[in-house]
Amino acid sequence: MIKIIDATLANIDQYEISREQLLFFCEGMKQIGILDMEISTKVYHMFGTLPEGIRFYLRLDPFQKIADFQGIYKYVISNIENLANCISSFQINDSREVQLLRKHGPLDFVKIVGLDDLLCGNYTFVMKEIMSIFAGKEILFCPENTYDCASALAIIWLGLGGKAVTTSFMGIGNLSATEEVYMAMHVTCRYKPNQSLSILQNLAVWYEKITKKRISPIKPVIGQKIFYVESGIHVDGIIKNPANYEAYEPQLVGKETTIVIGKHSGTNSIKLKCNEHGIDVHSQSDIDLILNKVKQICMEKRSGLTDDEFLGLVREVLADERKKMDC
Amino acid sequence: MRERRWIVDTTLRDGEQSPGIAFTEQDKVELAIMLDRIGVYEIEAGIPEMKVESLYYIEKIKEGCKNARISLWSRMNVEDVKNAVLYKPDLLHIGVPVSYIQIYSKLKKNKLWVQKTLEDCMKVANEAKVEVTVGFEDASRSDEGFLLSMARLTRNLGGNMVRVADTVGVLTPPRAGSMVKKLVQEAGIEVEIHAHNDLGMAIANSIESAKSGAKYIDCTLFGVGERSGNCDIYKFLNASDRLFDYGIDKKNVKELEKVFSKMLDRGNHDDSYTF
Repeated sequence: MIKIIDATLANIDQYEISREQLLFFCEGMKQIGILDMEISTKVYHMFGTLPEGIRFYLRLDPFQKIADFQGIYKYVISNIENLANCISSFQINDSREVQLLRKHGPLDFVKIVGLDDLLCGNYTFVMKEIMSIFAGKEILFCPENTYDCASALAIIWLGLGGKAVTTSFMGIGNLSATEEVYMAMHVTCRYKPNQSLSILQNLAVWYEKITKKRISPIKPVIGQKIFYVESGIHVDGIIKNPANYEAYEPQLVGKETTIVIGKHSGTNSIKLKCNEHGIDVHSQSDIDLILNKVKQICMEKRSGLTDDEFLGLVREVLADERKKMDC
Repeated sequence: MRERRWIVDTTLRDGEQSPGIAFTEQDKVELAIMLDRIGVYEIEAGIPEMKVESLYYIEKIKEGCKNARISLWSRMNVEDVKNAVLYKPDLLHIGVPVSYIQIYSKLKKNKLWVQKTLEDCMKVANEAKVEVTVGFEDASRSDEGFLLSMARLTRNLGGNMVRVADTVGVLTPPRAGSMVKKLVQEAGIEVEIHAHNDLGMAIANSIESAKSGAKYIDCTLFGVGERSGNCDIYKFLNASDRLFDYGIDKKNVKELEKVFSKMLDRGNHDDSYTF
C-alpha cells in the first residue's frame, strides 16, 4: 500500500497561524484519507495535545532532543545511526551523490530529499539504485520542486514500486503538491477510487488565508477556473460527454463544469446559456447575431462576458430584431 | 554539445482558449513579433474559422516575423481546411481525434471515417501546397495500435510530423516517453508534444518527450490554456535548457512575460496567472 505523507505543517513556520487553523488542516487531510503528516517543532508546541487519528512525523534539528517530544510516530533527523522511531534524512542535490548513500545501507528507515533535476537524467536508474541500496527498508521519497517536476517525480517513484512519498499542499516548502500527486494516483492508478476530495476547496481557502497568497485560477486540481470552459469545440464535446474533455469529474473536487461566454464560444454555448436563464432563442439567425456580437465585444474588452453582460447583450439583440420585424 | 529542440508557442491559439482571455488582432501581432524576436521556432497564430478575425492579422504576423514559422489550427473538416489554406500559413495543424472516447462519443463516427476524412483534408492541403502537422487529439487515451496506424497513414499521405496531444493532461513521463519513442521508431515520423497540466505534469511530460525523440515542444506564456493550462515556456526552459538547445535565452522570456502580463491586465484578468 502506498503512503502519501503530507509535510505542509512542517513548512509553514513563517506564517501566523492559530491552533484552530492547524486542526482544520489536519481534519481536511483526514477527510481525504491522508493519515500521515510531517510537522515542525513549532507546530508541535502549538498543538499542545496532538489530534487523534494521525501518525505524526516530527522534523527535528540536530540540537533537539527526542525525549522532549512525546506522542510522535517517527522523528525525522539528519542522523546516520539506527535509532528507535527515527528516520534518517538525506539531502541529495545531484543524482551522482546517490552513491554516497551506499554506506548507509544498513539504516532501517530513510528519507531522501532533493533530486530536483532528476527528470533530466536517467531517473529510472537512479530511483532503482536508491531502492536497491535500501532494499527491504522503508524509504520516504521527497523530491524538491525547483524545476517544477516534483509531482511527476513522486508519481514515477510510486510507479516504480516506491511505497511512500512526502508532499505538501500547494507544494509549499518547494515540494511536490499533495493534491497533484493524490489526483494523479487517483486518475492513473485508481488510488482511493471512492474518496471524495471536495474538502480540497476549503483547504485552498485555508491556504490563501494563511499564506496571504492567491492560488492561480488554473492551478491543477484546486484552481477556481479549471472546469470553466469557453471554446465552442470543448463545450460541444462536454455536452455530449464530459469525459471528452475532463480527466475526472469536477464534483470529485467539489466543483462543477461552468460554461463561460467569450470570444471562442460557439452556438451551443449561446443556446445553453440562454436556456439556463430562461430565455427562448429559437431562430438560428438570432443565435448567429448574438454570437457575432459576443465575439466582437470580447475582443474589444479583451476578456469574456459575465452572465449579466451576456444577458444584457442578448436582450439588446432580441429587442433590435423585434423592432426590425415591427417596421 | 546540447541537442537541438524547437519551441512551438501556442499562446495565441490554445492559450487564448483559456476561458476569459481574448486578444485583439493587434495584440496577436504584437505578441507574435515579440515571440519571433526571442527565437521561438513556430508561432501557432489561431483558428481561422473564427468569424470575427480577418486575414489581416495573419498577414501582419507573417510580415512582422523574421524567422518564426507561422501556423494555424484547423478541425479535421474539409471545409475548415479549405478555409485555412487561404491564409497561406507556413504550416497547418489539423486536429484529428484519435481516442475511442473522442471518435465514438464526441464525433459519433468510427475509425474508418477518421482515416477517410484525414485523407480528404490532407488532399486539400497538399493541393494548396501547405505543409501539415497531424495533431493527434487525446493521444494519451488512445489505443496504441490505432495511434501507430494513424501515424503511418499520415506519412503515406505526405505528412512528416504528428503532434501528440495529451488533451486532458493525464500522461505521466514514462508513458509520454514510451509513446513518443514508438512513434519515432516504429512509424518513422517526427513528433511534436502538446502537454496539458491537469495533473501538474506538463513540464515533466514535455521534458521526457524531448528526451525520447520529440523535436518540437508546444508551450504557452505562463502556461495559459484550457483548464489547468499548457506547458509553461519559461518553466520548461528553466528545467531543461541544460539538456537541450532551444535557441532561446530564458531571460528574454521573462521580459516577454512582463509585456504579456500587462496585456492580460488590460482585460482585467487575474494577475495570479503568473503563479
